[in-house]
Amino acid sequence: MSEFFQQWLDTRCSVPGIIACSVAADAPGYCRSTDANFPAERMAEMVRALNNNASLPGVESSEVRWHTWVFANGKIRSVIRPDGWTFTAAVRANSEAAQILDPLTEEFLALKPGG
Amino acid sequence: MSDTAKHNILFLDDNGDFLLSIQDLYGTMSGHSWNIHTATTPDRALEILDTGRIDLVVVDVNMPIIDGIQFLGILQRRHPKLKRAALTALATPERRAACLANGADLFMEKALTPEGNKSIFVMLGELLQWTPREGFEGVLRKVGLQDVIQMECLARNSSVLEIYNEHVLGQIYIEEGQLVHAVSGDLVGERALQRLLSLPGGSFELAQFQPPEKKSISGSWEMLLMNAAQAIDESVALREESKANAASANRPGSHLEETLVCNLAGDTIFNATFHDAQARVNWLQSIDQQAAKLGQILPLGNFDRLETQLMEGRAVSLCRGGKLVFVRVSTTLGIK
Repeated sequence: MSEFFQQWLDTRCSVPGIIACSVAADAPGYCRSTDANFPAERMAEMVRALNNNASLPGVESSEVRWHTWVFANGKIRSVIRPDGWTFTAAVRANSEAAQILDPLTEEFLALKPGG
Repeated sequence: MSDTAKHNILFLDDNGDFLLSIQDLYGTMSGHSWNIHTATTPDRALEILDTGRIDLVVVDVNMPIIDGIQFLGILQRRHPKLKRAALTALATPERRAACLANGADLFMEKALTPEGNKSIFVMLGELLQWTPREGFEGVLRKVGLQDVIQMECLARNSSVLEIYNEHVLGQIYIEEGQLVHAVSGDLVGERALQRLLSLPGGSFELAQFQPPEKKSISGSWEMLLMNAAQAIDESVALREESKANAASANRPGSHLEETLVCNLAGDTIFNATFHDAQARVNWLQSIDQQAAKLGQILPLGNFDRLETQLMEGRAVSLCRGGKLVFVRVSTTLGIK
């Protein structure tokens, strides 16, 4: 299953504007970076930091589809599937990757490893 | 074109035909008091700007090689005192934010009608007349009318928010942190406020406070904004519903479920949540801290907000102007 998600990530991480991305069942998982200033190890650090995020009070974790941290110059998308696999992407603002973040997320959520 | 013209304006656009029409149209509209210069490339524009005669530059956003947003950034560094406007055939919130962030004083959509051209002409004229007031100047990215109203009210300021787009002109009066009056065309009071807050796009400016002729709004600004948001949601839902056949009235709608505002210390300023308010405050504080951590790992500029997409709704946790804001909207699936 790990290879399936890694292959998916490899085909998607080249979208212009993606700084780094990751798929994981357990942090930090498999990380890819397209920015020399932000190597995959730093992405792994980010994934770990996101895993320590508090949960939204009064809302079941199964009710949360994804989080998007919006900064002036970019976004960080954090998605968790019901089977526990996570997808994290850091993208530049106003980039192609920022535009397709939602469909990319939906695609990840709809992936069928056994299918 | 006379050299004694009152204003020198430079239009940068890769479409030469557009420049010719603008030169002709705005030259005539201004009674030839505008000396209109044109450039089809950024390097030619910079050459003209280096003569030091230009009062205002109007930049097309969508250009090849160096787009208007990048060019605005160059202007911000090379000619910081120059007045700048951005013009685009495709006005999106992202482009607007990028242009404003790169120093544009105005962001406008290219006009398709004579009325639209007149609006652009008037706004450029206003910008030419504008002189900076005392105080700080800065850029607010992706800011909405509600955000500005909240900030003005929380700071207990007095000001007039002037809002305009191609079709609408209106004013919202804020006096010592309270919404006291709104006007938009024939509408006055809360209906005018709702109309202005429901505009899909446009520009606004905070003007010096002048007492309104009458006060048409009363009540707390928090409730007024919530009522406006709810009315907008309902009108949007009604519009959507009326578009569809009555038989297919199971379209999704949305409702503002809860709002909480607190300061950085965690003191609640406004609470309209049915959940444990302290838990929400703790959440907002943890988000603020988490954003700071993420910003250290990957510097992406100032943190703006955390958006949480839920199965049936959306929550937004904002950190702005020393205030933490939590808003949750639910979407309903309607009759199945």
